Amino acid sequence: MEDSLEILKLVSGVDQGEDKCRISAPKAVLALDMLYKEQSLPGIVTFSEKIDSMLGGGIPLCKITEFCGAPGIGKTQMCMQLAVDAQIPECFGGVAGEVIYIDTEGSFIVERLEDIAVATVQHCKEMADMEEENEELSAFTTENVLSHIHYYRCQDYIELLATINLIPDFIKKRPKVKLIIVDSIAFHFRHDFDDLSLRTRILTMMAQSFIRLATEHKLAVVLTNQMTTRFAHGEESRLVPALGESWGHASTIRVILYWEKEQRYAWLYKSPNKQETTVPYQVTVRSKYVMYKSPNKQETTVPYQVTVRSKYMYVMYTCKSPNNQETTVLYHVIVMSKYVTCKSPNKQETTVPYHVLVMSKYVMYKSPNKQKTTVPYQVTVMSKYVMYKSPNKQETTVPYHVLVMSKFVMYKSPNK
Amino acid sequence: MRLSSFFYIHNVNKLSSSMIKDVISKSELELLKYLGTGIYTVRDVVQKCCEACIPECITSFELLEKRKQRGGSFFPTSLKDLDQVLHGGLPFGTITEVAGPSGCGKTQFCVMLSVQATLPTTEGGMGGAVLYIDTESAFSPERLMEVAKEKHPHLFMSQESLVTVGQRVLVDVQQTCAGLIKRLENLEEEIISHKVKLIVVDSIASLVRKEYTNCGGNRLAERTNFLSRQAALLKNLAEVFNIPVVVTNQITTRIGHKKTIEFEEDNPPELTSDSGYVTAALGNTWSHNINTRLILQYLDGHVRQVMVAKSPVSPFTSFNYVIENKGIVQLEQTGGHYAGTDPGSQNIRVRSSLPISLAGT
Repeated sequence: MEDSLEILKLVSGVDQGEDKCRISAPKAVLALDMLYKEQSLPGIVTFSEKIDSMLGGGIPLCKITEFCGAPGIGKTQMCMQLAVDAQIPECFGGVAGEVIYIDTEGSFIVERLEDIAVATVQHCKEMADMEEENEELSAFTTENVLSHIHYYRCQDYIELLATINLIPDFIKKRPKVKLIIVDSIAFHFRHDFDDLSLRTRILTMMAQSFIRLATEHKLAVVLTNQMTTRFAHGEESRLVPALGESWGHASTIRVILYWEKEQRYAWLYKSPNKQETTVPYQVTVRSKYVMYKSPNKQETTVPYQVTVRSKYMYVMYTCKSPNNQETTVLYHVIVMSKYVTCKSPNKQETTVPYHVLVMSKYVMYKSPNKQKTTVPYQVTVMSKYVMYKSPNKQETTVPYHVLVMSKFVMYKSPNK
Repeated sequence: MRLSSFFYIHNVNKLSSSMIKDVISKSELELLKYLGTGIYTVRDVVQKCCEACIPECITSFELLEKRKQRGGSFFPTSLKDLDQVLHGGLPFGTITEVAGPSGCGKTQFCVMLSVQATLPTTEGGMGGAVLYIDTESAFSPERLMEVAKEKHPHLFMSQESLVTVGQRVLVDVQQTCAGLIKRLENLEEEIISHKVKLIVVDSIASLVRKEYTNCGGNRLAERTNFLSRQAALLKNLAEVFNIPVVVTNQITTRIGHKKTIEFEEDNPPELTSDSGYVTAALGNTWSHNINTRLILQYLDGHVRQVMVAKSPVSPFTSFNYVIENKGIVQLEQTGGHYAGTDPGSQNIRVRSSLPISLAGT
């Protein structure tokens, strides 16, 4: 018996030496080791707090995550945001990796990516001012972010397959790749495919390549998928992810994005370690409109996000804390957005100018964890009223709340 | 296939594309069988094939620089606020869809874009030709001239200068789906020889809806396939020549979709039409294929509204416009600018594509 064990070892060793493409037969690992390993791997945050906590701390490495959704729901936005987020320096809890972006649909607008990169970099820079961790951060510039996103435009499925086959070579040259994005996986498989069995086979091959890439190189794979309408006998037609049932097995985590009335929702449809959940999320505009005064800083313009909804108004903006201590200071915000969409008597939506003046308190909490560097946390300030003026509405008072993102997007780790 | 392909790939560096397709879409095991060689040779062959057809890798930074060098990558529509939210206009290399009820100005929009595209770059145009594929026979050269003359009186003082506009718009009438596909497949030569800078398809829906009327299972699948194919062709053209493609779409009424009928108590129903609602035609799969969707709708009688319903760069935005002699004119004070992000009830409409109030029709 022992002789044969030696021979087996020898044989597998030779195999490994000669042939590098092939994975050596994996050995069984203890679940405990796996647990430690998974804990040590940070996720890629999506900057949507709720989605992050739903996924247990962002997009996990070593796994395939699939986003499915109706047209215009924000799949491409999500991909672009992730491409930038994957490069956040480690001191902020990011993974500081490079990104391969495979675009099959041609909706990659690099100008939009630049916007996102600028906003994210600025966001981190502002946080750095109070933390004084400028070393890693000095390399984190928009230029660097953009030049670490490697873009492939695949015109047909053959190019897509070729690209995927050659990714391992690319990673050898650039070992820091931490995220592969394919937007979308479905596009080329939804036309000119008469041979369905061929399609299924190619999809399975691709799924295998992705799983291999993800586990071998410890990187995250993010795919987007389209939705299709399925008719069933005696049932209403409904929207389901495209590419059929067997493709459903390919991804480890599947998130479905959908509309429910005015709100976008993300639905965790399939996940090995999380319950099925549904969380709302928003795609917002970042522009430079918020002015805020703080006792010891000059009036500054910072990026913010405003979404006006029927009932609530969210004002989300980054804010520098005046000093590092736990403190409570008064501050003063004037939101200078100019337009709000209202209902007018003829039930059509119109956009009218308005003006908001918000005064509230700025509260900072102490971090729950005492480690000084990477623990992100979040402060939520809830004020009660916002007044707005509009030409065709009476002055009204509605509840709203303000989210102050004091350090970094909060995320939960899977085990906390 | 056995020996020939093996030697072909190994000895000659010229690889035919169909050969590559064959090799790549087969598993290693199948290739072993076909080629009758060892696994290393097979991997070598696959590697070579992949290398032969892999698209060029570019970092987004280089991409950005490249696009900036080319002098902008957006085609300004001349509607100020629309350009602003779209980062400067319709993005090159992508498909933009204009959907709306009949008579709402889809064709006017296309005509206006055609005029803009023929203008010299100094005037905000692209100084190129326009390929106008007309399936509804709705294109009116007279209107084209009128728009050009009224919109840019300083440029088109004389009759001769107007003629150049007419010379630069190539109108192509297509009556069948098959014809349209065939046309799209053979456009490249024409695009190069005429320096086409904008492709307009007006409308994408009419032919499809005419020919695939029986929406029984198989027909519908065929229709979807046709549309995806068409989209892939258009995308390819847009991409290769780095030009914008504009298509128009019609609207359709959907009946009895539960999600839109349920309302919360404090959220009074917007859609007073009891069971049906109006939305862009051609279904969900088609909506995936376009990059930007603009929706035109009636506001009241004279005034209409354009909404950005899907865009990789812009939030939901809307603003009003009227149609005048010189084409589409945006109303200044109604501009939606950035805060048009009203999800309100607009979002459910977008979800299955915006339903449009029938009031104006």
